[in-house]
Amino acid sequence: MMITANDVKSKLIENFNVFELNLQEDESNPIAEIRKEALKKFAAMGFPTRRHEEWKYTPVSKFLKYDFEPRTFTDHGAPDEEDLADAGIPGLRANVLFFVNGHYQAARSKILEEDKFEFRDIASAINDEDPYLLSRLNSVIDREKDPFIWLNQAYMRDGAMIRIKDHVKLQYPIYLVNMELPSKGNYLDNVRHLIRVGDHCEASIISNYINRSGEDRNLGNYFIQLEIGDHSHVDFYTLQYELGKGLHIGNHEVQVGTKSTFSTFFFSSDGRLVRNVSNIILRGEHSEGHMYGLYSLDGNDHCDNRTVIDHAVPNSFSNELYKGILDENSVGVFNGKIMVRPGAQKTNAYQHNPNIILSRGATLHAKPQLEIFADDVKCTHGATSGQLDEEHLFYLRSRGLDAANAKALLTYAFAYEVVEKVKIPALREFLEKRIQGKLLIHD
Amino acid sequence: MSKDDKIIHEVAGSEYKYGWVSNIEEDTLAPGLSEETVHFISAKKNEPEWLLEWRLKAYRQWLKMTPPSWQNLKIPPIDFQSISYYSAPKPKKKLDSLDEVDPELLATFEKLGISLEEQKRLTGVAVDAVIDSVSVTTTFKEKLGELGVIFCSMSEAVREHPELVRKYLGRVVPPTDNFYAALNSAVFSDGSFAYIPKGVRCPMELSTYFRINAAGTGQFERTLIVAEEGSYVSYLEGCTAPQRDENQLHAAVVELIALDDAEIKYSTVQNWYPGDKDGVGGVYNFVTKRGICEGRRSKISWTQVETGSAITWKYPSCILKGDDSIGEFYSVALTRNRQQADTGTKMIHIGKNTRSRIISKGISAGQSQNSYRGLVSINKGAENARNYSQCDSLLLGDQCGAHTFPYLDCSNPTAQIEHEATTSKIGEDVLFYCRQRGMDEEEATALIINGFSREVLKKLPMEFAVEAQKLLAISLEGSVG
Amino acid sequence: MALLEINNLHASIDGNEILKGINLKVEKGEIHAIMGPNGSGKSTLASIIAGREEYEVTKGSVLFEGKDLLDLAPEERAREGVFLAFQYPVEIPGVSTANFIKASVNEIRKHRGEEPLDAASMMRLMKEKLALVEMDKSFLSRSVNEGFSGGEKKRNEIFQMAVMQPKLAVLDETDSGLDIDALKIVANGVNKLHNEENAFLVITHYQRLLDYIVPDKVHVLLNGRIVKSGGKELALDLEARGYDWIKEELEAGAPQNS
Repeated sequence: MMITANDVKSKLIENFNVFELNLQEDESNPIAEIRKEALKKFAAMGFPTRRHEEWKYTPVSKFLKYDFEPRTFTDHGAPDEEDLADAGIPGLRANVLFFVNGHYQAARSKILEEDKFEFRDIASAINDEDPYLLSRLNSVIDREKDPFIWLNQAYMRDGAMIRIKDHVKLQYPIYLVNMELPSKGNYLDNVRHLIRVGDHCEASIISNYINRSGEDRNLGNYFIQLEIGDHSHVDFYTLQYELGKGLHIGNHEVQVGTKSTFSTFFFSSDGRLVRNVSNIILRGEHSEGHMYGLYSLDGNDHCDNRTVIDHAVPNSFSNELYKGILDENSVGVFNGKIMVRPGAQKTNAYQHNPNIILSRGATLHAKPQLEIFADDVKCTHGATSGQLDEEHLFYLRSRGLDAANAKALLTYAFAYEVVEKVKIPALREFLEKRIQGKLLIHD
Repeated sequence: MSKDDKIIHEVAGSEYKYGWVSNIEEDTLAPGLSEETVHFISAKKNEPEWLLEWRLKAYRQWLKMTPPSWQNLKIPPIDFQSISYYSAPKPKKKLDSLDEVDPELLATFEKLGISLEEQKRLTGVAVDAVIDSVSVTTTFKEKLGELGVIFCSMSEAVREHPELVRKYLGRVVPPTDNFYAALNSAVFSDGSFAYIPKGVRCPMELSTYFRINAAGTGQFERTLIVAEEGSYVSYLEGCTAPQRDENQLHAAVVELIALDDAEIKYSTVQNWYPGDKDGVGGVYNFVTKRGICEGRRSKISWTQVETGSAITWKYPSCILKGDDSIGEFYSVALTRNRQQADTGTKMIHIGKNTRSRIISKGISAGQSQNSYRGLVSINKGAENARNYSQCDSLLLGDQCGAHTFPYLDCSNPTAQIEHEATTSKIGEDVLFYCRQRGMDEEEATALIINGFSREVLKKLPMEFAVEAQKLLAISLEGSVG
Repeated sequence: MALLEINNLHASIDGNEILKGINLKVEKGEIHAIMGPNGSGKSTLASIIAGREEYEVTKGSVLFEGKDLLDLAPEERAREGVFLAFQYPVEIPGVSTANFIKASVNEIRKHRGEEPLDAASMMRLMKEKLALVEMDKSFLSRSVNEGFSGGEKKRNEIFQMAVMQPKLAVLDETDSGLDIDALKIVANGVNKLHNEENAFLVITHYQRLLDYIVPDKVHVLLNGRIVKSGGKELALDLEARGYDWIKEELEAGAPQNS
């Protein structure tokens, strides 16, 4: 019998009791109540349909084909050499935090700068009723009414909790490896990462998603809350090159303080369903948000990029560049909103979304939006769709390149505008190679 | 309050110029909507059985539908039973010429600035005037008749040209297309019909003036324009309504059909009563306008200047079905006080080498909310389709909102879509420059806004462009002309 | 009564004092040049005369034909006959130069109690003045300054000045960015417009312009004050020797007027 999204929902709600029992959490732990509240919200919302404006182009029901359930409590997984190779970024020195099937694995993690930031796994923070954890769980903003956030909150078990104290400059990036290993069931992993960056800090974070099963029987539901203080610089990189046909939902909720700069980078190139929601709230004056995305898709990839940059106070700046390359039967969605709140005068906001469609089967949906409630602003957005410039192709061919290579080279040039924004050299080289590999460009 | 603010407040709060009520004797149906209402309207118009059935089918569907909610508008609930669905100026007798038209009615048109007498003698614009729900007079019929051009009220078209009406009515906007279109299909009482035969270039602009006059009525007119192969027509539409405290519903449907090599240019100056500065009263303008470029190399061009209505919900669209066909949308929408507008277009590219162009200029003042919403859809078979969209918004004052919601769907690799949008206010440096040349802020603002809107205004026929420019200035100046 | 009389003018922007006590008198029929290095306050002075609102006058007065100019809105000053040729003329998309000038001229005429000009007279006036700055009449249908080259923008300023016939014209670095041909055209325009009833305040960084527009008086503005005034030969001195000798003279306590 066909499984529908509604069946998945019902089962998740019905089986919550069993999940709770297995959790063995203290009954007096406030988390219990938080989970129940979240479940209620999820139950009320259900999985989004096409009628949900923010999900118009990503019909979830099409992808939820199995009766997903939270992974069993013992299935912590042991990655082999091949699995581990997928997580490697040559030449990258980093503070590695390793998660397998949603669980922290200390043995595979390596923290180089222990003195500079505080890390603990969410599972133990839950057990200890960590006040910071609880305060963050109680202050989820969710402006988009996204049921996956509440599903995550109800079922979350582990993740990273990172706190960087004031005046700390990290020398090495924090590297979150999120790996899912092949397993027999149809699993849903709900992982939460909580990050707090203090005032006058500098930090880079890389979050890499690897689905070793490469099947659409695995649904990773990640929710990242990032809070940035004043006068800080934070870069956040999301890598999605090893998802195979896996399903991935990611919600980012970022708050940026006064005179701080936040940059986010999404590199997506895989996944039967990838939905990246990036919600950035500029809540301090003279703060900046920079958003970069590159989705280069083929096969039946479906990648939905939802971004909201919320200018909540005067004198803030944002710049967004998301580029799409769509091949074969892929579907690319860009749904980006610039929001300027009443009173947020002197906002400057720019957004650009160019796309190249390489094949007859591919589809693009772009919905750039401006919602402006203050008058002394400069906001622009642009979106384009087209193919490679015939003139350019001809030029390269007249210099001896064959058509396929000329096409690959120009596509790479198109992508490179995003890649070159990456500030970590080892990561940039890694991305260059990945993209070249995908486009079959040879040295 | 600073001087700037004061001017912006004045600018934002000017009075409505067309807010008088005419003392025309009207024949108005008691409020309420049921199958009987539909029967009544159809009977009143001596309609054939098929049309009554068509209406009833739409009505039954409408009962099952709910008003759309996706738009960026706050629409108070509408009691569809409290609206009167038919109101007509009482005819003293059948009118044979303009001289027999009710003098009060003629005076109404004079006030609107469209003297029919003048029109008739001088300008060469054929006018069909619709007051409340009924077409009152159509000028120039004979002259057009010589060329085979049919231009008459929809009621007359149903009587005189039933085969044409039956063939095309509902072809572009099916009776159940959306909530308001279904309502219109059930209860439309009149409207204009134009048919341009093969190869004819309509020698004059065809024009309809719509006015809601009676209290408590809705206006549900239906316009159908068919341009046969190789023909051309330019059609103008103007709208006003008296100042009333209650809200009035205007739910019209416009359908355009362009066959091979035909061109339809449809221009609107919409100045329905927008409500007062506190948002009391005003027209709800919920309109479905759609054209189909059925034939190859056909072209449909929408131009609109929207300054009126309390709430506007309107997306004049083009279905570009014929290869090499062209769709255009040029729009200026100005909102002030508590007006809300959610307007834009849809360009559906189906045929090969189809092209579309969207130029939208939004101006928000007072506490108004002004949204552009547009869809560009490139279907799989639309080889080499091209679209260019430019949406600019200007904000006057810090209490209004300007929003842009474009949707781009592309399923063809050879298509090229380009969309750009900007939002800003009038630069202080630009204002200062104008003031240094002797203009006060109000005049400078009007001048700058006319400049901002120029690309759209210049698409209007000459007489209309002047009127639209004045309308923008009046809407901004706070001075009654 | 002087046409323009500035007494002990102090002005600041965002709390920084830019003008620190300017005194200047311009009579009808005169051409004054104000020279000074970057940041000396030249453009601030022009902006205050024209009424730019971001500057705050903290002390002193500016009288125009005996009337308090500071009390008037920018447009009232323009209607009274004060014209500023902008250093950076703005672009106004969609507004044709002809329409812009029409609006401007008619406002000024209204102020003087005159009827608006009819279309034909307006056109005649514009064409006549276009010739003065050697501009083609196609300029009239182009949007104000949009896509104009630097030189065209400056000529457009002089053209507007010619149409509006102000009593006092302030030229704010009109020479900057002009090649020699354009400079001659601009200077020629000014010279033709100059008469016994009007006056010019030419603000410039370089002496170059003053080869073509001969000033009656030259003032040196340094650090918010006029530190030296003289005849046209002072401009040549500045060209040859720069501004440092004046600074040295000042430090040595030399008299301000030579």
